[in-house]
Amino acid sequence: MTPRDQMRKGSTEFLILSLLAEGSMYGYEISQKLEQRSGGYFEMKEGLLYPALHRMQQNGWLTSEWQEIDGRSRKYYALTPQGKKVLGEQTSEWKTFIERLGAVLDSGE
Amino acid sequence: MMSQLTIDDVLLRIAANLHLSKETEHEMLTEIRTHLEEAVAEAMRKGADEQTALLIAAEQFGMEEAAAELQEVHTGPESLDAIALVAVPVLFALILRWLAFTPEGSARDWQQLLTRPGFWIIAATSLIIPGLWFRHRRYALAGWIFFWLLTVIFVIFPSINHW
Repeated sequence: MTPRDQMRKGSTEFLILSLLAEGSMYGYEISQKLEQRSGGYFEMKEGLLYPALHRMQQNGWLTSEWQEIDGRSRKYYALTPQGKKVLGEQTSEWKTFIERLGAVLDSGE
Repeated sequence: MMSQLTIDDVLLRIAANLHLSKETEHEMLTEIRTHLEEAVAEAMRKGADEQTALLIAAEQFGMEEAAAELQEVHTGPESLDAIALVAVPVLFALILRWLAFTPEGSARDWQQLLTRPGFWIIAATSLIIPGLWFRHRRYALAGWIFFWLLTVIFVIFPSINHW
């Protein structure tokens, strides 16, 4: 596993929570937005998004609802109040992580 | 000539690696079907023919990896459901038996038992709790039928004998 794969794996849930903070989305939509916004940096096998979504739903961070749109059954995911709380905690944690990492890298230059 | 790959073929390959309840698998595969259909449509918009588009979509999806992780995510909760499906009716039937029989082992007659509010509260609770617990309502109903079966065998039938 490459360092990028490791970072991607560690941040998948946070990225999903961040996207869903904008509103409910279905799996394919999430995968496309992740790719567009990261310029492909967080590219992963799209199918791996679903185990993450299902695990987050089991944790009570997401709810889901089926909707029929253009003859297709789409499962829309949305943040629960607990999911919003986790997003807040993780945002703060990631900001600290990036800040500290930057400080360590800068001191080495 | 090689036969053409279809979305159903891809779904079958994913399903072959899943060993979950029919309902869970069906819901999962419906979700994946939508994903593949949209990915194929997108690839075709970009100029790929249908067969190439499906091959690209299947490759990007990562069938084996996704199926293995989905199996892992759902195995725990499904095992817990199976335990609860058996344990909850047994627990409620035991509570009823404790209510129906005195410590010495003599039983109230079954007609008296049916007039006690506690009996009906437990009967209702044994449906409501699984109804909230299980994602599939028919599991709750199956548990409730099992509860009544146990109740008839271990509570009502001995009460009739005592009577």
